[in-house]
Amino acid sequence: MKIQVLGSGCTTCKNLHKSVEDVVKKLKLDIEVEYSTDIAKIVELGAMSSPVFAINGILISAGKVPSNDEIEKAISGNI
Amino acid sequence: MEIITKTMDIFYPLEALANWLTFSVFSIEQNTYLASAVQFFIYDTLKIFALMLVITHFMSAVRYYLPIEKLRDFLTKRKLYGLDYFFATVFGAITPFCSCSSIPLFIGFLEARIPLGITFAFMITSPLINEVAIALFISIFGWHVTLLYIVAGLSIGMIGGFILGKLKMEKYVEDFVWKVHVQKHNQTEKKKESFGKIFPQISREAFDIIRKIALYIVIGVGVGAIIHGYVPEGFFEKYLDSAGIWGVPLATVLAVPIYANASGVIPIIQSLVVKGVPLGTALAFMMAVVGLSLPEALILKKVLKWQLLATFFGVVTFGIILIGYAFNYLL
Repeated sequence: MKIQVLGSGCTTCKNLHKSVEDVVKKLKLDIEVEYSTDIAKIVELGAMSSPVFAINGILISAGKVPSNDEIEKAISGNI
Repeated sequence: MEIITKTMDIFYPLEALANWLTFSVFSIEQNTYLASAVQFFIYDTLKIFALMLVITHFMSAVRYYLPIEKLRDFLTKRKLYGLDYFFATVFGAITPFCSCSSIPLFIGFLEARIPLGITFAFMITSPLINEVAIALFISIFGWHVTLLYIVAGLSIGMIGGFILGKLKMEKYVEDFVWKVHVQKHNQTEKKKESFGKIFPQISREAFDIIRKIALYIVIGVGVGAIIHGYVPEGFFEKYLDSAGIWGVPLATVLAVPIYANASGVIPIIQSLVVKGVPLGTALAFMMAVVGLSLPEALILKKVLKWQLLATFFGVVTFGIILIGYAFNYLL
């Protein structure tokens, strides 16, 4: 599974990165969360707001930090 | 000036509460500077947060049903016969502005083959009009000025976007922007759900927004309250009279290096207006603070060459100055 957090480097993006990492740790998964500030990648995923949270190249959320429960649901739904 | 100080009846209970807290609970003597500042602070804070609660919920609901991706598709798929500028500014007004999103949005619009001018119309209006600014405007200046402000913000966006579009400046957009291609338009799936299920999500988003700006508002109203209570009436007139007709452009230019949240600036602006700063001059200052900022310019520099960036700022500055004069003349 490939988990990505894409952002422009703003605080909201960093918060999302941290939330996703926390959830991954909580679920005891051995997956690295990719964090990138390449804006072209955001647009290529079809999103127009940042930060972006994507699993296996599929957009889960854009422009907001979902709650930890929502992140957990999205990740466990893709295992 | 009457419009500004006029309070609306629906807020009467809040005013009564503020009076009761100031004069009975804190037992501050009436007609003192302190009483005036404290009463102003309590009343304004209550009023702003009450309105903010309603408006942020409403706007979060609008955004849930009309995400930015849908707005983009609307602008690309339909022939709008010149109304595109109008729609782009209205969409800019309903989307929240966050500098984190300005670049992906810009690229996303251009990638969808939306013309540069229309993209700019959106980007000019987005920071100027948003739910937070509207809630603050209604509670502080009343409905009349709020409506005028919205019309002004939309006009700057439409006219600015139109001019930028006519200048044919596509070559001054960084080359990599034109090479970005969306691989798949996979939208986050949205199942049809009952409003009861969606509401908690909308509400959470609304409270997120309020939480983010609450401190700025309290500080802004606090500074405003101090000015309100302690600065003598007509204080600024003395200084601004010497600036004369140059007041509006001066206020606009002075605002550029200041990067602040509209939520903190608007309450301060109101106190300045009460103490003699002309409304148009004050609004020009506020619009320049939120619409023209150096950090925003640095972010946009990633996608715009300096010629276009400078033209963009120039056009918006000019628009803000015009609106400032219009407000001073009309009100």
